[in-house]
Amino acid sequence: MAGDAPAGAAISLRQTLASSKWVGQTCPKCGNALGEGEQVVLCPKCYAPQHAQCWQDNGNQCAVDQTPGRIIVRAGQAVQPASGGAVTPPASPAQQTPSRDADPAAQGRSGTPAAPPGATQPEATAAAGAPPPPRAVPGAASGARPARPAAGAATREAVGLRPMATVRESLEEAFEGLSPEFGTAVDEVSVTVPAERIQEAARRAKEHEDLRFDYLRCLSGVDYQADGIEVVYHLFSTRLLQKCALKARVSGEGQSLPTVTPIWAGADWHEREAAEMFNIRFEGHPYPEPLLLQRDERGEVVPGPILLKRFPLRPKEPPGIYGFPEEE
Amino acid sequence: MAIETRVRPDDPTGPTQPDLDPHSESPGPKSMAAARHTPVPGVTVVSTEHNLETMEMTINMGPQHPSTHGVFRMVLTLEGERVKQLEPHIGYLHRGAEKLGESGDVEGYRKAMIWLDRTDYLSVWPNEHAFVLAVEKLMGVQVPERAEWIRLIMDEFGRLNSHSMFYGAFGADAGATTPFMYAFALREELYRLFEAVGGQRMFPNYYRIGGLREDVPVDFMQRATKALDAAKYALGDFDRLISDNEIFLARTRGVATLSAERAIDLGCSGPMLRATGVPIDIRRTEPYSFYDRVDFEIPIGTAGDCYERYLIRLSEMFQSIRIIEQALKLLPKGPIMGNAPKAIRPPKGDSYQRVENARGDFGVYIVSDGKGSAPYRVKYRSPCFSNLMALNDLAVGAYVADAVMGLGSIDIVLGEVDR
Repeated sequence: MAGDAPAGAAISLRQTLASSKWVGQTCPKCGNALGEGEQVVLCPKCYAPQHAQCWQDNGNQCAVDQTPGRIIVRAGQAVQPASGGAVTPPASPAQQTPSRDADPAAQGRSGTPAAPPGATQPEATAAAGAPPPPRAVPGAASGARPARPAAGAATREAVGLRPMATVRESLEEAFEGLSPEFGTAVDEVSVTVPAERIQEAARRAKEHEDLRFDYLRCLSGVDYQADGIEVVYHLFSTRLLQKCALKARVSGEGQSLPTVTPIWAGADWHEREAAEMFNIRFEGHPYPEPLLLQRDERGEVVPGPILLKRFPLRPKEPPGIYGFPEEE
Repeated sequence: MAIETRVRPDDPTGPTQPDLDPHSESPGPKSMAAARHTPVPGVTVVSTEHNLETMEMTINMGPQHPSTHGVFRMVLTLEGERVKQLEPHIGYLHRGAEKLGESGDVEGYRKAMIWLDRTDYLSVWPNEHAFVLAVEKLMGVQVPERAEWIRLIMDEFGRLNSHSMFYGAFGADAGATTPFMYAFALREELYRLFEAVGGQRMFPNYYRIGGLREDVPVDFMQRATKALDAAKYALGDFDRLISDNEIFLARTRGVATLSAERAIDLGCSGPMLRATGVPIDIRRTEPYSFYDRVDFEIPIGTAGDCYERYLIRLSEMFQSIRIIEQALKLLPKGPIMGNAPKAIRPPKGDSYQRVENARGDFGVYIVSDGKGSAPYRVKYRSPCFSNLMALNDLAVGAYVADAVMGLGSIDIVLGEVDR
């Protein structure tokens, strides 16, 4: 430490946002209210917010209890006059994080397609260099929430998402010509398409303007034994806040269906896992290798497709391998 | 000592050197690389320029490396100190939790929950919640209010526990060992509460289909308040200890960034997704339990770097305290078990239930054939599994030390990735 540096704890300079909790409080030094876009420091002892300039004018001390503290000024940043109200670029986008909030459910409840929540906003904020516009405080909107249905009711629809009937209408429109079969998986629409057309169905589900299923949540295989193996894609739309389950069925193990990795990059590991666990193939997968299991020296996946119903939970041990007599 | 330099012969106006390079294709002045090998009589060349040939190196990191948070192996192709290629290898902790969950002979649904606890050993409470909600949805079981509130409270305590573990481990990744001690001081308090409520510190197996195994202890309010006070006290320490630390900022800010589009495409969730600015939180978008009755905020970031993932988790801990405080006031008296039958045999069908656990979007997919006492198929959608797919985006092109930070910021639990 340099000898001439002010004594006390290191305190950081904060850029006030519209949602900062100290906005409107009074600075104990100058008596003015703390406004948006001003530089503020918090006393390390009493947490009283005050202007950074006032802190320095007070001899790098808190105006309330005279706690000393030195302001850390980072590169490219300087203490601005308190009364100027000049909007400076935020110290870092990261510093805004704790005080920012968002209410995606409010977007979903309005019933209209919400703006893409994350596609443009971060770049816009970073490029503009100005504090972000104030957002809706979730507590303020709490009165508008719909009454909650009875807990555990089997057929209740998820709160905050688009209703199942709307999703089903859009799916029927988008999947025209794919011979879809509709069903209900308790609280979401499920639609089954032929296995060889799953990639086309996935593409339509992602690109249709009323569906926009851009988020693959889960990819599961289910072994129905004589009825084949079903692959279930649980989809979600981060833009429209809706969900559905897409299903495709192959006739049995060893069969293949097209990959959906070109549509959702996140399908990569999910498909590798389903392929090794159910002994099916995803045609066109970029790296069709086992993921959780491994290959032995002969190139076979060991211990095998374990999630198939024919695969025993506990394999039979070879008798007498340890020199003990075989138990009856 | 002054460094002598020679006249560069590729300057056409300067003195030309004889062409001694037998591999040169063009006559006349040589390029810098060729000229460097040209002997010049009477001049000693002391150059500060680097003329070292680099070589790619492939090294194994893990599975026993401490910074991989368990048994995770990365095959790194390095060029110097930079990661050029990364191939993650998982599966070392694969125990077949799904297969075991399908194989219980009697009371298979309850046995499946025991295996589920062992997958993500830090986020046990929300994961159990997902499982019981999925079965309750399939069976149409009513859950008493008291049970649902207690579940919500314990979920949030579980989130506090998991995030404080992240805090300690992430600090250790950045080279600070002190946060670990602070984190474990808080976790000890939380585990005392878990032991009082569920009878077990790590794997409570406390939720039941239709309610809870037993009611909370009579002094639950005092114990919960004590744990909350410990959390409030510790969180102030957490924040002041490294949030503004210069070294920590240098190690995390702008490191291992991820864009919002890529995060959605890969299926990232939780703080990984919210750090990129996408305000998706299952507690808000699809409120389960009573999350639509409590007031809380969802912290999101803008840059999507390690520092924001850290800050988001820290902010979520404050929000968890806020949720628990509201829920403790609203906790009603009443029964803790609903109308669930003794033998759990859901009708034929399937249901998928998501919850927001500490790492993100945790889902349980249950298929029932309507006959067996165990689920016909149970699939756990692990948030770490999808988040880990983003590791290539985080680490390629960065330094090895930054790749470690990127991996640490995902907050992986390998038991959940491998299941």
